[in-house]
Amino acid sequence: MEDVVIHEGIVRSSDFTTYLIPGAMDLPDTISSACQGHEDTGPFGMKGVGEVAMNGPLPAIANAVDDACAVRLCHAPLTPERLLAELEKMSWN
Amino acid sequence: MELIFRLNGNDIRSDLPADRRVIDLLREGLGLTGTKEGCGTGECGACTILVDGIPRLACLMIAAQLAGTRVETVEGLAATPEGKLLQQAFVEEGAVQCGYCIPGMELAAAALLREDDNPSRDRIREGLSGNLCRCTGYVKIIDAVERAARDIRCCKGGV
Amino acid sequence: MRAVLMPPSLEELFYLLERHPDALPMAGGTDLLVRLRGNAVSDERPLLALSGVGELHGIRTDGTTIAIGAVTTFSRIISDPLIAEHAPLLARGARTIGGPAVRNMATIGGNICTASPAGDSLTPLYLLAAKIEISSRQGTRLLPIEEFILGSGQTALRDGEVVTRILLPKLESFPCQHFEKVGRRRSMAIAVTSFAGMMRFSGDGTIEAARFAWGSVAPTVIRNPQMEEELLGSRLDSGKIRHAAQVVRDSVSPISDIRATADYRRSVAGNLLIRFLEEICV
Repeated sequence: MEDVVIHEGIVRSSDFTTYLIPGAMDLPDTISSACQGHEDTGPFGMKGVGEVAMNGPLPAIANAVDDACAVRLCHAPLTPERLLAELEKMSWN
Repeated sequence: MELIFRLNGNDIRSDLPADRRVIDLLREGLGLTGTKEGCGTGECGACTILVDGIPRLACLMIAAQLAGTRVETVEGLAATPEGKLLQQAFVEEGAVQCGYCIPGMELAAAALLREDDNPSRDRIREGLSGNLCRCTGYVKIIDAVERAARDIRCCKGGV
Repeated sequence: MRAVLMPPSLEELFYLLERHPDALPMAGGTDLLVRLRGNAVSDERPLLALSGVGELHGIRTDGTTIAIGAVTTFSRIISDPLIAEHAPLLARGARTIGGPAVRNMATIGGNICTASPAGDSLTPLYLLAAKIEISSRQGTRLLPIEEFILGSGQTALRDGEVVTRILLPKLESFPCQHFEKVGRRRSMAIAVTSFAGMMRFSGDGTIEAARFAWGSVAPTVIRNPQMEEELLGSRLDSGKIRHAAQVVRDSVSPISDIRATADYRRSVAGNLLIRFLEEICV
Protein backbone atom coordinates (compact mmCIF):
# COMPACT_ATOMS: atom_id res chain seq x y z
CA MET A 1 0.00 0.00 0.00
CA GLU A 2 0.92 3.67 -0.10
CA ASP A 3 3.41 3.32 -2.92
CA VAL A 4 3.96 6.38 -5.12
CA VAL A 5 4.77 4.87 -8.49
CA ILE A 6 6.51 7.18 -10.92
CA HIS A 7 7.26 5.99 -14.42
CA GLU A 8 8.99 8.16 -17.01
CA GLY A 9 8.32 11.23 -14.89
CA ILE A 10 4.60 10.67 -14.53
CA VAL A 11 2.90 9.67 -11.30
CA ARG A 12 1.02 6.47 -12.13
CA SER A 13 -0.58 5.98 -8.74
CA SER A 14 -2.73 9.05 -8.99
CA ASP A 15 -6.13 7.99 -7.68
CA PHE A 16 -7.69 5.83 -4.96
CA THR A 17 -7.62 2.81 -7.24
CA THR A 18 -3.87 2.88 -7.70
CA TYR A 19 -2.62 4.69 -4.59
CA LEU A 20 -3.90 2.37 -1.89
CA ILE A 21 -4.48 3.54 1.65
CA PRO A 22 -5.37 1.10 4.41
CA GLY A 23 -9.01 0.26 5.04
CA ALA A 24 -10.67 -0.77 8.29
CA MET A 25 -9.65 -4.41 7.82
CA ASP A 26 -5.97 -3.59 7.26
CA LEU A 27 -5.13 -1.80 10.49
CA PRO A 28 -4.98 -3.30 13.98
CA ASP A 29 -6.34 -1.70 17.10
CA THR A 30 -3.83 0.80 18.42
CA ILE A 31 -3.36 2.28 21.86
CA SER A 32 -2.20 5.86 22.24
CA SER A 33 -0.28 6.69 25.40
CA ALA A 34 0.83 10.18 26.27
CA CYS A 35 4.42 10.41 27.54
CA GLN A 36 5.60 13.22 29.73
CA GLY A 37 8.60 15.07 28.27
CA HIS A 38 10.18 18.50 28.13
CA GLU A 39 11.39 20.48 25.13
CA ASP A 40 13.78 23.20 26.26
CA THR A 41 13.24 25.33 23.17
CA GLY A 42 9.46 25.12 23.31
CA PRO A 43 7.05 27.47 25.07
CA PHE A 44 6.41 26.10 28.56
CA GLY A 45 8.46 23.08 27.51
CA MET A 46 5.89 22.06 24.93
CA LYS A 47 6.44 20.43 21.55
CA GLY A 48 3.95 19.68 18.78
CA VAL A 49 3.41 15.95 18.32
CA GLY A 50 1.78 15.86 14.92
CA GLU A 51 4.52 15.54 12.32
CA VAL A 52 7.28 14.30 14.60
CA ALA A 53 5.23 11.23 15.48
CA MET A 54 5.38 10.22 11.82
CA ASN A 55 9.08 9.30 12.03
CA GLY A 56 8.90 6.42 14.47
CA PRO A 57 6.54 3.78 13.07
CA LEU A 58 8.35 2.94 9.84
CA PRO A 59 11.72 2.03 11.41
CA ALA A 60 9.92 0.23 14.23
CA ILE A 61 8.04 -1.93 11.75
CA ALA A 62 11.19 -2.50 9.70
CA ASN A 63 12.86 -3.70 12.91
CA ALA A 64 9.93 -6.02 13.57
CA VAL A 65 10.18 -7.48 10.06
CA ASP A 66 13.88 -8.06 10.62
CA ASP A 67 13.18 -9.70 13.96
CA ALA A 68 10.54 -11.97 12.45
CA CYS A 69 12.15 -12.85 9.14
CA ALA A 70 15.84 -11.90 9.38
CA VAL A 71 15.30 -9.62 6.41
CA ARG A 72 16.39 -5.97 6.43
CA LEU A 73 14.09 -4.02 4.14
CA CYS A 74 15.31 -0.47 3.60
CA HIS A 75 12.76 0.70 1.07
CA ALA A 76 9.26 1.77 2.02
CA PRO A 77 6.57 0.59 1.70
CA LEU A 78 7.52 -2.76 3.16
CA THR A 79 5.37 -4.71 0.75
CA PRO A 80 4.79 -8.47 0.75
CA GLU A 81 6.36 -8.51 -2.71
CA ARG A 82 9.62 -6.98 -1.51
CA LEU A 83 9.72 -9.24 1.53
CA LEU A 84 9.00 -12.38 -0.48
CA ALA A 85 11.78 -11.53 -2.93
CA GLU A 86 14.26 -11.25 -0.05
CA LEU A 87 13.05 -14.46 1.59
CA GLU A 88 13.40 -16.30 -1.70
CA LYS A 89 16.94 -14.96 -2.13
CA MET A 90 17.73 -16.22 1.36
CA SER A 91 16.40 -19.68 0.68
CA TRP A 92 18.49 -20.02 -2.46
CA ASN A 93 21.70 -19.26 -0.53
CA MET B 1 -37.35 12.03 -17.10
CA GLU B 2 -39.70 12.62 -14.19
CA LEU B 3 -38.25 10.93 -11.15
CA ILE B 4 -40.39 10.05 -8.13
CA PHE B 5 -38.81 8.62 -4.99
CA ARG B 6 -38.80 8.92 -1.23
CA LEU B 7 -35.91 10.79 0.38
CA ASN B 8 -35.39 10.88 4.15
CA GLY B 9 -39.11 10.28 4.62
CA ASN B 10 -40.28 12.89 2.12
CA ASP B 11 -41.73 12.35 -1.34
CA ILE B 12 -39.64 13.91 -4.07
CA ARG B 13 -40.71 14.62 -7.60
CA SER B 14 -37.98 15.89 -9.87
CA ASP B 15 -37.59 16.49 -13.58
CA LEU B 16 -34.02 15.77 -14.60
CA PRO B 17 -31.77 13.87 -17.00
CA ALA B 18 -32.11 10.15 -16.36
CA ASP B 19 -28.34 9.66 -16.46
CA ARG B 20 -27.59 12.30 -13.84
CA ARG B 21 -25.33 10.92 -11.12
CA VAL B 22 -27.23 10.44 -7.89
CA ILE B 23 -24.48 12.24 -6.00
CA ASP B 24 -25.00 15.31 -8.19
CA LEU B 25 -28.75 15.05 -7.78
CA LEU B 26 -28.37 15.01 -4.00
CA ARG B 27 -25.70 17.67 -3.63
CA GLU B 28 -26.56 20.10 -6.39
CA GLY B 29 -30.11 19.29 -7.35
CA LEU B 30 -31.46 19.00 -3.83
CA GLY B 31 -28.87 20.94 -1.83
CA LEU B 32 -28.06 17.98 0.44
CA THR B 33 -24.31 18.31 0.69
CA GLY B 34 -23.87 15.80 3.50
CA THR B 35 -23.06 13.07 0.97
CA LYS B 36 -19.44 13.59 -0.13
CA GLU B 37 -17.59 12.77 -3.32
CA GLY B 38 -14.12 11.46 -2.57
CA CYS B 39 -13.21 9.79 -5.85
CA GLY B 40 -16.18 9.42 -8.20
CA THR B 41 -15.09 5.87 -9.05
CA GLY B 42 -16.54 3.81 -6.23
CA GLU B 43 -13.24 3.34 -4.40
CA CYS B 44 -13.62 5.39 -1.22
CA GLY B 45 -17.19 5.03 0.07
CA ALA B 46 -17.59 8.70 1.00
CA CYS B 47 -20.73 8.87 -1.13
CA THR B 48 -22.44 5.93 0.62
CA ILE B 49 -26.21 6.30 0.88
CA LEU B 50 -28.93 3.80 1.79
CA VAL B 51 -31.32 2.78 -0.97
CA ASP B 52 -34.18 0.63 0.29
CA GLY B 53 -32.11 0.15 3.42
CA ILE B 54 -28.95 -1.16 1.78
CA PRO B 55 -25.70 0.76 1.33
CA ARG B 56 -24.93 1.84 -2.22
CA LEU B 57 -22.53 4.32 -3.80
CA ALA B 58 -24.17 7.51 -5.05
CA CYS B 59 -21.29 8.28 -7.41
CA LEU B 60 -21.97 5.09 -9.34
CA MET B 61 -25.73 5.38 -9.52
CA ILE B 62 -27.78 7.24 -12.06
CA ALA B 63 -31.03 9.02 -11.27
CA ALA B 64 -33.14 6.53 -13.22
CA GLN B 65 -32.17 3.84 -10.71
CA LEU B 66 -33.84 5.72 -7.85
CA ALA B 67 -37.37 5.53 -9.27
CA GLY B 68 -39.73 4.22 -6.63
CA THR B 69 -37.02 3.68 -4.03
CA ARG B 70 -36.61 4.82 -0.45
CA VAL B 71 -33.38 6.77 -0.01
CA GLU B 72 -31.67 7.77 3.24
CA THR B 73 -28.79 10.22 3.41
CA VAL B 74 -26.87 11.43 6.44
CA GLU B 75 -29.24 14.37 6.75
CA GLY B 76 -32.03 11.92 7.54
CA LEU B 77 -30.09 9.92 10.10
CA ALA B 78 -30.84 12.19 13.06
CA ALA B 79 -34.56 11.74 12.44
CA THR B 80 -34.46 8.28 13.98
CA PRO B 81 -33.56 7.49 17.60
CA GLU B 82 -30.95 4.95 16.47
CA GLY B 83 -29.43 7.48 14.08
CA LYS B 84 -29.20 10.07 16.84
CA LEU B 85 -27.47 7.63 19.17
CA LEU B 86 -25.08 6.65 16.39
CA GLN B 87 -24.11 10.24 15.68
CA GLN B 88 -23.74 10.98 19.38
CA ALA B 89 -21.44 7.99 19.76
CA PHE B 90 -19.25 9.24 16.91
CA VAL B 91 -18.89 12.60 18.61
CA GLU B 92 -18.27 11.23 22.09
CA GLU B 93 -15.70 8.64 21.02
CA GLY B 94 -13.65 11.20 19.08
CA ALA B 95 -14.29 9.34 15.83
CA VAL B 96 -14.48 12.53 13.77
CA GLN B 97 -11.36 14.38 12.59
CA CYS B 98 -11.72 16.12 9.24
CA GLY B 99 -15.22 14.70 8.92
CA TYR B 100 -15.14 13.89 5.23
CA CYS B 101 -15.60 10.12 5.54
CA ILE B 102 -18.11 10.39 8.35
CA PRO B 103 -21.44 10.57 6.50
CA GLY B 104 -20.53 7.45 4.53
CA MET B 105 -19.23 5.74 7.68
CA GLU B 106 -22.40 6.53 9.62
CA LEU B 107 -24.68 5.18 6.92
CA ALA B 108 -22.61 2.03 6.50
CA ALA B 109 -22.68 1.64 10.29
CA ALA B 110 -26.43 2.27 10.46
CA ALA B 111 -27.05 -0.44 7.89
CA LEU B 112 -24.76 -2.83 9.77
CA LEU B 113 -26.46 -2.20 13.12
CA ARG B 114 -29.89 -2.79 11.63
CA GLU B 115 -28.72 -6.19 10.46
CA ASP B 116 -26.60 -7.11 13.49
CA ASP B 117 -27.33 -5.32 16.75
CA ASN B 118 -24.28 -6.71 18.55
CA PRO B 119 -21.47 -6.90 16.02
CA SER B 120 -17.94 -7.90 16.99
CA ARG B 121 -15.11 -5.49 16.23
CA ASP B 122 -14.12 -7.69 13.27
CA ARG B 123 -17.66 -7.60 11.96
CA ILE B 124 -17.68 -3.81 12.32
CA ARG B 125 -14.40 -3.60 10.39
CA GLU B 126 -15.93 -5.68 7.64
CA GLY B 127 -19.06 -3.55 7.54
CA LEU B 128 -16.91 -0.43 7.18
CA SER B 129 -14.41 -2.01 4.81
CA GLY B 130 -15.73 0.00 1.88
CA ASN B 131 -15.24 3.36 3.61
CA LEU B 132 -11.75 4.86 3.57
CA CYS B 133 -10.54 7.21 6.28
CA ARG B 134 -7.22 8.99 6.02
CA CYS B 135 -7.28 10.66 9.42
CA THR B 136 -8.24 8.33 12.22
CA GLY B 137 -6.82 4.86 11.56
CA TYR B 138 -10.39 3.61 12.16
CA VAL B 139 -9.95 2.65 15.83
CA LYS B 140 -12.21 5.34 17.27
CA ILE B 141 -14.74 4.86 14.50
CA ILE B 142 -14.99 1.20 15.44
CA ASP B 143 -15.22 2.22 19.11
CA ALA B 144 -18.08 4.57 18.18
CA VAL B 145 -20.02 1.87 16.34
CA GLU B 146 -19.52 -0.52 19.26
CA ARG B 147 -20.77 2.11 21.66
CA ALA B 148 -23.72 2.96 19.44
CA ALA B 149 -24.65 -0.72 19.30
CA ARG B 150 -24.61 -0.82 23.10
CA ASP B 151 -26.60 2.41 23.42
CA ILE B 152 -29.19 1.30 20.91
CA ARG B 153 -29.61 -2.09 22.57
CA CYS B 154 -29.99 -0.51 25.96
CA CYS B 155 -32.33 2.19 24.81
CA LYS B 156 -34.64 0.13 22.59
CA GLY B 157 -38.15 1.12 23.53
CA GLY B 158 -36.91 3.69 25.97
CA VAL B 159 -35.76 6.70 23.92
CA MET C 1 -26.39 13.48 -21.81
CA ARG C 2 -27.41 9.88 -22.33
CA ALA C 3 -30.84 8.40 -22.67
CA VAL C 4 -31.53 5.63 -20.17
CA LEU C 5 -33.65 2.78 -21.43
CA MET C 6 -35.23 0.64 -18.68
CA PRO C 7 -37.04 -2.34 -20.14
CA PRO C 8 -39.34 -4.15 -17.69
CA SER C 9 -39.14 -7.50 -19.49
CA LEU C 10 -36.86 -9.65 -21.63
CA GLU C 11 -39.08 -9.14 -24.64
CA GLU C 12 -38.82 -5.38 -24.32
CA LEU C 13 -35.08 -5.72 -23.73
CA PHE C 14 -34.52 -7.61 -26.99
CA TYR C 15 -36.68 -5.13 -28.85
CA LEU C 16 -34.62 -2.22 -27.54
CA LEU C 17 -31.35 -4.03 -28.26
CA GLU C 18 -32.34 -4.33 -31.89
CA ARG C 19 -33.63 -0.80 -32.18
CA HIS C 20 -30.55 0.64 -30.47
CA PRO C 21 -27.58 -1.51 -31.47
CA ASP C 22 -25.21 1.05 -29.99
CA ALA C 23 -26.84 0.98 -26.56
CA LEU C 24 -24.62 0.06 -23.60
CA PRO C 25 -26.13 -2.69 -21.44
CA MET C 26 -25.77 -1.84 -17.75
CA ALA C 27 -26.22 -4.24 -14.86
CA GLY C 28 -24.84 -2.86 -11.58
CA GLY C 29 -22.88 -0.14 -13.35
CA THR C 30 -19.82 -0.51 -11.12
CA ASP C 31 -17.49 -1.26 -14.05
CA LEU C 32 -19.36 0.45 -16.88
CA LEU C 33 -19.89 3.85 -15.29
CA VAL C 34 -16.28 4.06 -14.15
CA ARG C 35 -15.08 3.19 -17.63
CA LEU C 36 -17.38 5.74 -19.27
CA ARG C 37 -16.22 8.48 -16.94
CA GLY C 38 -12.62 7.65 -17.75
CA ASN C 39 -13.20 8.35 -21.42
CA ALA C 40 -11.67 11.59 -22.60
CA VAL C 41 -14.51 12.26 -25.00
CA SER C 42 -18.08 11.58 -24.00
CA ASP C 43 -20.50 9.96 -26.41
CA GLU C 44 -24.28 9.95 -26.62
CA ARG C 45 -24.86 6.19 -26.61
CA PRO C 46 -27.90 5.30 -24.54
CA LEU C 47 -27.63 3.19 -21.42
CA LEU C 48 -29.72 0.04 -21.40
CA ALA C 49 -30.49 -0.71 -17.74
CA LEU C 50 -31.01 -4.42 -17.14
CA SER C 51 -32.02 -4.18 -13.50
CA GLY C 52 -35.73 -3.79 -14.27
CA VAL C 53 -35.95 -7.14 -16.03
CA GLY C 54 -37.35 -9.56 -13.46
CA GLU C 55 -36.24 -12.68 -15.36
CA LEU C 56 -32.61 -11.64 -14.87
CA HIS C 57 -32.77 -11.69 -11.08
CA GLY C 58 -32.78 -14.51 -8.59
CA ILE C 59 -31.34 -17.92 -7.89
CA ARG C 60 -33.34 -21.05 -8.60
CA THR C 61 -32.88 -24.76 -9.03
CA ASP C 62 -34.75 -27.41 -10.94
CA GLY C 63 -33.00 -30.20 -9.05
CA THR C 64 -30.02 -30.76 -11.33
CA THR C 65 -28.90 -27.24 -12.15
CA ILE C 66 -28.67 -24.00 -10.22
CA ALA C 67 -29.62 -21.00 -12.33
CA ILE C 68 -28.40 -17.56 -11.29
CA GLY C 69 -29.94 -14.55 -13.00
CA ALA C 70 -27.27 -12.42 -14.67
CA VAL C 71 -28.25 -9.28 -12.76
CA THR C 72 -28.14 -10.98 -9.35
CA THR C 73 -25.90 -8.99 -7.02
CA PHE C 74 -22.98 -10.51 -5.17
CA SER C 75 -24.61 -9.68 -1.83
CA ARG C 76 -27.54 -11.85 -2.84
CA ILE C 77 -25.23 -14.65 -3.94
CA ILE C 78 -23.30 -14.51 -0.67
CA SER C 79 -26.44 -14.85 1.44
CA ASP C 80 -28.27 -17.42 -0.69
CA PRO C 81 -28.87 -20.87 0.86
CA LEU C 82 -28.75 -22.71 -2.49
CA ILE C 83 -25.32 -21.25 -3.20
CA ALA C 84 -24.16 -21.98 0.34
CA GLU C 85 -25.10 -25.61 -0.05
CA HIS C 86 -24.13 -26.37 -3.64
CA ALA C 87 -21.59 -23.74 -4.70
CA PRO C 88 -19.94 -22.31 -1.55
CA LEU C 89 -16.77 -21.56 -3.51
CA LEU C 90 -18.66 -18.94 -5.51
CA ALA C 91 -19.81 -17.25 -2.31
CA ARG C 92 -16.22 -17.26 -1.04
CA GLY C 93 -14.98 -15.56 -4.18
CA ALA C 94 -17.85 -13.09 -4.10
CA ARG C 95 -17.04 -12.11 -0.51
CA THR C 96 -13.70 -10.70 -1.63
CA ILE C 97 -15.16 -8.35 -4.23
CA GLY C 98 -14.89 -4.64 -3.44
CA GLY C 99 -16.62 -3.63 -0.23
CA PRO C 100 -20.15 -3.99 1.16
CA ALA C 101 -21.75 -1.26 -0.97
CA VAL C 102 -20.02 -2.49 -4.13
CA ARG C 103 -21.29 -6.03 -3.45
CA ASN C 104 -24.80 -4.62 -3.16
CA MET C 105 -24.52 -3.20 -6.66
CA ALA C 106 -22.13 -5.39 -8.66
CA THR C 107 -23.62 -8.37 -10.49
CA ILE C 108 -22.36 -11.77 -11.53
CA GLY C 109 -23.27 -11.13 -15.17
CA GLY C 110 -21.38 -7.86 -15.10
CA ASN C 111 -18.31 -9.50 -13.56
CA ILE C 112 -18.31 -12.17 -16.28
CA CYS C 113 -18.89 -9.76 -19.17
CA THR C 114 -16.20 -7.36 -17.95
CA ALA C 115 -13.97 -10.43 -18.24
CA SER C 116 -11.12 -8.99 -16.25
CA PRO C 117 -8.27 -11.45 -15.68
CA ALA C 118 -8.72 -10.51 -12.01
CA GLY C 119 -12.48 -11.10 -11.75
CA ASP C 120 -13.04 -12.71 -8.37
CA SER C 121 -16.14 -14.70 -9.28
CA LEU C 122 -14.42 -16.18 -12.30
CA THR C 123 -11.95 -18.67 -10.79
CA PRO C 124 -14.74 -20.38 -8.80
CA LEU C 125 -17.04 -20.37 -11.83
CA TYR C 126 -14.45 -22.16 -13.96
CA LEU C 127 -14.14 -24.90 -11.33
CA LEU C 128 -17.90 -25.10 -10.89
CA ALA C 129 -18.24 -25.87 -14.64
CA ALA C 130 -20.45 -22.81 -15.12
CA LYS C 131 -22.33 -22.44 -18.37
CA ILE C 132 -23.30 -19.00 -19.64
CA GLU C 133 -26.77 -18.63 -21.11
CA ILE C 134 -26.81 -16.04 -23.87
CA SER C 135 -30.12 -14.83 -25.24
CA SER C 136 -31.40 -12.64 -28.04
CA ARG C 137 -34.54 -12.20 -30.06
CA GLN C 138 -33.42 -15.19 -32.12
CA GLY C 139 -33.19 -17.57 -29.19
CA THR C 140 -30.82 -18.89 -26.59
CA ARG C 141 -27.42 -20.53 -26.65
CA LEU C 142 -25.20 -21.96 -23.96
CA LEU C 143 -21.42 -21.71 -23.68
CA PRO C 144 -19.09 -23.09 -21.02
CA ILE C 145 -17.49 -20.13 -19.27
CA GLU C 146 -14.04 -21.00 -20.63
CA GLU C 147 -15.44 -20.60 -24.14
CA PHE C 148 -17.39 -17.46 -23.29
CA ILE C 149 -14.42 -15.50 -21.96
CA LEU C 150 -11.96 -15.17 -24.81
CA GLY C 151 -9.33 -12.84 -23.44
CA SER C 152 -8.82 -9.87 -21.18
CA GLY C 153 -12.02 -7.86 -21.57
CA GLN C 154 -13.24 -10.03 -24.43
CA THR C 155 -16.25 -12.27 -24.56
CA ALA C 156 -18.13 -14.26 -27.18
CA LEU C 157 -21.16 -11.98 -26.89
CA ARG C 158 -22.53 -10.87 -30.26
CA ASP C 159 -24.61 -7.83 -31.19
CA GLY C 160 -28.16 -8.09 -29.96
CA GLU C 161 -27.25 -10.61 -27.25
CA VAL C 162 -27.23 -10.43 -23.47
CA VAL C 163 -26.16 -12.89 -20.82
CA THR C 164 -29.37 -13.97 -19.11
CA ARG C 165 -28.38 -16.70 -16.66
CA ILE C 166 -25.38 -18.52 -15.26
CA LEU C 167 -26.02 -22.25 -14.91
CA LEU C 168 -24.16 -24.40 -12.42
CA PRO C 169 -24.54 -28.16 -12.62
CA LYS C 170 -24.88 -29.95 -9.32
CA LEU C 171 -21.44 -31.42 -8.84
CA GLU C 172 -20.26 -34.48 -6.99
CA SER C 173 -19.01 -33.59 -3.58
CA PHE C 174 -15.62 -31.99 -3.18
CA PRO C 175 -15.00 -31.99 0.57
CA CYS C 176 -11.88 -29.89 0.20
CA GLN C 177 -12.48 -26.47 -1.35
CA HIS C 178 -10.56 -23.24 -1.12
CA PHE C 179 -10.52 -19.79 -2.63
CA GLU C 180 -7.81 -17.31 -1.89
CA LYS C 181 -7.21 -13.88 -3.26
CA VAL C 182 -3.95 -12.07 -2.74
CA GLY C 183 -4.52 -8.36 -2.98
CA ARG C 184 -2.61 -5.34 -1.80
CA ARG C 185 -5.07 -4.77 1.01
CA ARG C 186 -7.88 -6.72 2.65
CA SER C 187 -10.81 -5.10 0.90
CA MET C 188 -11.44 -2.84 -2.10
CA ALA C 189 -8.52 -4.56 -3.80
CA ILE C 190 -8.00 -5.92 -7.27
CA ALA C 191 -6.49 -9.40 -7.10
CA VAL C 192 -2.76 -9.62 -7.68
CA THR C 193 -3.08 -13.40 -7.87
CA SER C 194 -6.01 -15.60 -6.97
CA PHE C 195 -6.52 -19.31 -6.62
CA ALA C 196 -9.45 -21.69 -6.39
CA GLY C 197 -9.13 -25.39 -5.69
CA MET C 198 -11.41 -28.37 -5.20
CA MET C 199 -10.23 -31.83 -4.20
CA ARG C 200 -11.55 -35.19 -3.21
CA PHE C 201 -9.61 -38.09 -1.73
CA SER C 202 -10.39 -41.80 -1.98
CA GLY C 203 -10.68 -43.96 1.10
CA ASP C 204 -7.03 -44.99 0.75
CA GLY C 205 -5.81 -41.38 0.86
CA THR C 206 -5.04 -41.01 -2.85
CA ILE C 207 -6.43 -38.17 -4.94
CA GLU C 208 -9.70 -39.07 -6.60
CA ALA C 209 -10.49 -35.70 -8.17
CA ALA C 210 -8.68 -32.38 -8.36
CA ARG C 211 -9.46 -29.06 -9.97
CA PHE C 212 -7.42 -25.86 -9.72
CA ALA C 213 -7.73 -22.42 -11.31
CA TRP C 214 -5.68 -19.26 -11.11
CA GLY C 215 -6.62 -15.65 -11.75
CA SER C 216 -4.55 -12.57 -12.61
CA VAL C 217 -1.64 -14.60 -13.97
CA ALA C 218 -2.77 -14.75 -17.60
CA PRO C 219 -5.25 -12.89 -19.85
CA THR C 220 -8.00 -15.19 -18.59
CA VAL C 221 -8.48 -17.61 -15.70
CA ILE C 222 -6.30 -20.63 -16.33
CA ARG C 223 -6.33 -24.24 -15.34
CA ASN C 224 -3.74 -26.96 -15.78
CA PRO C 225 -5.59 -30.11 -16.89
CA GLN C 226 -2.37 -32.01 -17.43
CA MET C 227 -1.25 -31.45 -13.87
CA GLU C 228 -4.71 -32.31 -12.55
CA GLU C 229 -4.56 -35.56 -14.53
CA GLU C 230 -1.09 -36.43 -13.24
CA LEU C 231 -2.17 -36.06 -9.63
CA LEU C 232 -5.06 -38.49 -9.88
CA GLY C 233 -4.52 -41.70 -7.98
CA SER C 234 -1.41 -40.41 -6.29
CA ARG C 235 -0.68 -39.66 -2.69
CA LEU C 236 0.50 -36.16 -1.81
CA ASP C 237 3.95 -35.69 -0.36
CA SER C 238 6.20 -32.70 0.01
CA GLY C 239 8.18 -33.50 -3.14
CA LYS C 240 5.07 -33.88 -5.31
CA ILE C 241 3.59 -30.68 -3.95
CA ARG C 242 6.68 -28.65 -4.65
CA HIS C 243 6.99 -30.15 -8.12
CA ALA C 244 3.36 -29.24 -8.85
CA ALA C 245 3.99 -25.68 -7.68
CA GLN C 246 6.95 -25.38 -10.03
CA VAL C 247 4.88 -26.70 -12.92
CA VAL C 248 2.36 -23.97 -12.15
CA ARG C 249 5.02 -21.27 -12.04
CA ASP C 250 6.38 -22.40 -15.39
CA SER C 251 2.97 -22.43 -16.99
CA VAL C 252 1.54 -19.02 -16.05
CA SER C 253 2.09 -15.86 -18.07
CA PRO C 254 1.55 -12.91 -15.73
CA ILE C 255 2.29 -9.30 -16.53
CA SER C 256 3.96 -6.64 -14.46
CA ASP C 257 1.73 -3.70 -13.68
CA ILE C 258 1.23 -1.06 -11.03
CA ARG C 259 0.00 -3.65 -8.55
CA ALA C 260 2.74 -6.27 -8.81
CA THR C 261 5.56 -7.64 -10.91
CA ALA C 262 5.22 -10.75 -13.05
CA ASP C 263 7.82 -12.51 -10.89
CA TYR C 264 5.82 -11.94 -7.73
CA ARG C 265 2.63 -13.19 -9.36
CA ARG C 266 4.43 -16.25 -10.65
CA SER C 267 5.82 -16.97 -7.21
CA VAL C 268 2.51 -16.49 -5.45
CA ALA C 269 0.63 -18.68 -7.96
CA GLY C 270 2.83 -21.61 -6.98
CA ASN C 271 2.70 -20.75 -3.28
CA LEU C 272 -1.10 -20.66 -3.20
CA LEU C 273 -1.18 -24.20 -4.58
CA ILE C 274 1.30 -25.30 -1.94
CA ARG C 275 -0.84 -23.74 0.78
CA PHE C 276 -3.91 -25.49 -0.56
CA LEU C 277 -2.26 -28.90 -0.75
CA GLU C 278 -0.22 -28.71 2.45
CA GLU C 279 -2.46 -26.84 4.82
CA ILE C 280 -6.01 -26.95 3.61
CA CYS C 281 -6.30 -30.42 2.22
CA VAL C 282 -4.73 -32.46 4.94
